[in-house]
Amino acid sequence: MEWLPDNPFVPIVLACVLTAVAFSLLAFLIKPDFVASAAPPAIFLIGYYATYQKAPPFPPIGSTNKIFYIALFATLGGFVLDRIAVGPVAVAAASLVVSLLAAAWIAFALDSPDAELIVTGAGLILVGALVLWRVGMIAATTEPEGGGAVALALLAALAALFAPVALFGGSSTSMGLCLGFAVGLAISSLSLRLAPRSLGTMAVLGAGGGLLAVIDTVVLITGGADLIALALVALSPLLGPFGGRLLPRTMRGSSALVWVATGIAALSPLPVIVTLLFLRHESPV
Amino acid sequence: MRIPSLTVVVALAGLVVASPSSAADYKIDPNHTHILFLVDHLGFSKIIGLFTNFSGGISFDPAKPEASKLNVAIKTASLQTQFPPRDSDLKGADYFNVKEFPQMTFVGSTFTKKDDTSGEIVGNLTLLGVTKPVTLEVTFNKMGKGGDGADTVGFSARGSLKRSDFGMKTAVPYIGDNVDLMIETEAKR
Repeated sequence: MEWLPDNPFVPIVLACVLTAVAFSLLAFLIKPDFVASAAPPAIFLIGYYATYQKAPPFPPIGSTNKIFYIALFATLGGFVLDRIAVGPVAVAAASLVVSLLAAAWIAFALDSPDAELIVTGAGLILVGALVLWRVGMIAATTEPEGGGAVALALLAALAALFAPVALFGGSSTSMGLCLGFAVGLAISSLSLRLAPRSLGTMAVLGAGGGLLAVIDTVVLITGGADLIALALVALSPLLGPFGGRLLPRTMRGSSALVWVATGIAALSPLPVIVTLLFLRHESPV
Repeated sequence: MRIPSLTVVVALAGLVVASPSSAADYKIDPNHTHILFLVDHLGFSKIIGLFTNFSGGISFDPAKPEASKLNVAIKTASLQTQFPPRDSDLKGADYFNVKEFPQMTFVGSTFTKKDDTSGEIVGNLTLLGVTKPVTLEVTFNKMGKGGDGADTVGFSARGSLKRSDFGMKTAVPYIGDNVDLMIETEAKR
């Protein structure tokens, strides 16, 4: 492995990219709908393994170990929901349950959470559930307004936007995981075998639940995340689809153009977030 | 990490020094104790960190050195590396996770004398909820009256551990797995 640059983030990004490519190829061999929904959580879990270099023992001790099982359990839960073909209300309820359990489980170890942490945790649960629900709804619609490509682009944008917040919040490791995850999802969203179809609940709950667990850990346990920057990150799932609607009607039929417009709009808070972080915090590099 | 060894050192003091025949309880002097660790950074250099908040003591009976008792507790949030953003990273969930694991402990279990001024202490270090044995090579420096008139013993200790043994695998091997420990301590009674 000496050919790799001396940067701990390179293996993470590489692992996520290879997983995305592998699932794209797998979609030629196995039922593409299932592979498409399994790819995002798989990218997260492989990215986690590359980041922390372990599949943590169960029951997990410590919040970073819990992240793995939150993503895994959310993926399995989503798989079950997909099998029994539940409606949108059940998906919304599942989004709330995943967000609630992720934050509660991660914060459970804290001896005496203060009022600020409780309020912050409640906000994370609520906004997290809304984000999962929103992306899940988009993933379930047909292209070009929604579908797999747009949902994956939104998740990728969320991860990319949170990366600098994690770095300035005292978790360079989470930044690496988020960057790798974002790149892997972006590649999946470009894959013609994975992205053009609507995604199952497994995709959004598994991958989104894992990302929420990372955010919960940085905010509640590491404790250094800038909450204003985090609020800007949460705007991404709203801004993304809005970007698609800004296209002239004649161009909205092109899924590629919708994808580009959605991605740009979803990432639009990035300059503000980075500027805010540099203004409000000491540079971590 | 294994910093607790300071206490161990104190314990060894008892072993090495032929002093009073009855058990004596010493407390670590935080003003004259330094607990440092060194860990490789991309092969370029070693980062040095230290813990500034700790407590501990040793009960030692020179007649029965094998019965010595040693306990050290370190507040993980006191970690410093001279660069606040890095301190935040190290105190965060990916490394020392100080909110969930605010303390690490070292309990010396086996005391072995090598010669008049050196020995070895084996104890259990508990870090991130994981307990593993750690060995410290200890040098007895001096015993006598300190500047404040208190009975004082001074030790130096060195050791190493693999942080991955305690589940801290983040960024290995870019940030080294092997952690060197340096402890300089005085204890008083």
